[in-house]
Amino acid sequence: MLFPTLDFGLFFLLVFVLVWAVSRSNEWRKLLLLVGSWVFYGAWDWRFVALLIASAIINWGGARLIYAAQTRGTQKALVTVGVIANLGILGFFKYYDFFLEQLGVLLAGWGMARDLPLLQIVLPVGVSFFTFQGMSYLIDVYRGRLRAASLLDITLLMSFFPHLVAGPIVRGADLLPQFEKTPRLNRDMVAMAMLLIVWGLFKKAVVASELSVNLVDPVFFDPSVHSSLDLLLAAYGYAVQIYCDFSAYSDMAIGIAALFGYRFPRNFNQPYRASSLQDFWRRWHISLSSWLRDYLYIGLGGNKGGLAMQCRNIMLTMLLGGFWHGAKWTFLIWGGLHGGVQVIETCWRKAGLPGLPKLLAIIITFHIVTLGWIFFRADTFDGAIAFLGGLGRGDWSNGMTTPLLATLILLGMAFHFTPPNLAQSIALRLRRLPAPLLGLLVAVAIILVDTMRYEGVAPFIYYQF
Amino acid sequence: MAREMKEHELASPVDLSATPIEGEHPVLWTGTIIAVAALVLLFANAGTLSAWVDEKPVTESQLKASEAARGWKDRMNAIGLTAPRDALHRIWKDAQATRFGDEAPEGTR
Repeated sequence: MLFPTLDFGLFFLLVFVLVWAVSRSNEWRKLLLLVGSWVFYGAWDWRFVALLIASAIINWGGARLIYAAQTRGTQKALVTVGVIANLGILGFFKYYDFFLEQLGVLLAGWGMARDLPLLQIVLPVGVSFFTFQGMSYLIDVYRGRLRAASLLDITLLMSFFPHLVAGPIVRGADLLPQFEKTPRLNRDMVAMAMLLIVWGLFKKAVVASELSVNLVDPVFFDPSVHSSLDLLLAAYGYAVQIYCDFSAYSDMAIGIAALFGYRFPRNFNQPYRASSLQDFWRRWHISLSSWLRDYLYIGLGGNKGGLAMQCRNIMLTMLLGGFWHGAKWTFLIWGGLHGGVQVIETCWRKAGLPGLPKLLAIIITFHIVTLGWIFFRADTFDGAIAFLGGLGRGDWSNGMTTPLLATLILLGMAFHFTPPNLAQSIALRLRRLPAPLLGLLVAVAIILVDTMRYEGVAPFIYYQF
Repeated sequence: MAREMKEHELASPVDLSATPIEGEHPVLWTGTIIAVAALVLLFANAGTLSAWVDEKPVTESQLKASEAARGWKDRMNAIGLTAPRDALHRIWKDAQATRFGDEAPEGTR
């Protein structure tokens, strides 16, 4: 069930009416949201609802035991077991076949080729998101930042449908305190929610879909038959597509949650106006980058222990961040590129070298990020190398890019250079409108999107992670 | 990546930096927005409803629903309520068909 579809619209209407009809009982509304979330998740595959429930029970039980444990040593042992259990789920579904394939290659290289038991496992949608959520919850209870939550709350935390399949990674510390009280709506939340939902629809259904179908997918499918200009514009196009696709999902998730009275954290902040890779990661997929910082980078030692250790920790964090996206070498290279450049930035800063002019720094950062996207988007390492090789061919004829596609690329970049609080300013005006007028405006905006959207809706890019 | 860990602070885009409007029933306000939007879409975007029903697996009830949705769409077309949407869609299709030169000939994608 994809957000920009009528199926989801009808599902949302039903859940919205039911949840607010029982709003006097916080427990009932949470139960309804939980059942609704399972229906939403079950629309992909009912079997994985059981996995979601099992994962929630493991984290609920683990947190209870950690909370009740008498000694720090016992707590440490319990949190370790809990994290391993979460990683076990993620590892089995996401990485089992990958590691076995690599083992097969190694054995073949040593002349000991074997038929290994590959399972062709179907990846449960959103597994990377809900396992990271579960781990951060356990670690926060261990660190004394959170109390152990009720089974209902932890299950809803992990299952809540707006963030379930593609984030943001909403931590227990963000959402559990909200679950303890009956949420209240206010016009600010609703006005901003409507804006985020409509804006997300536009970015996904119009910009991302048009660029994907008519430029990016055909060029990445076979880079060898396209000119250097086509490849260059497809790389820029993908930079815009992935931003519009993923930020659209986050915007809609934040907006939908707000209509139930819950506040989700910001996940994007005009990432392509970043003036360094470190700045980029404070603006892109913020819930993942802050998760990696708080639970991995700091856990590895952070910036303690000297420059060499700090560089090692940055590199490891980014490599594992890349691997989180999927079991492919191209994701590791993508993570390695981001880590390597951040290491250079750190050494540059520590050496006291002067910074680049801001505009030049933004342009260089954007092109490094776009280079990374080529590896991220390519199906294989060879495909990425063929793409880069094609860029160097020097054939600058245009075989793909129409005026509309060029406009959408420019528009996607222009989003990054609007005033940072533009959406807030608009929402502040919208909240004063009479409800029927705002309803009419929302409908007109949806019709406008519908006239422009590409036929059919492709899944969000981050569903695969 | 090189920042110290801080207590996690929730900064949500739905928190506006202004005094909230008090004294009105926000759930009713929200419900009215959603109801009006849904009704306008039902009338002015009837073609999308019909297309959605047609995409469902064929059953006896789906066939009846498809017929009803098509009838609804035809009635809205006859009244002219769907005309603005159709006109805008034509403009968009023209924009899609526009070319700088001889790139991406029609039918090659």
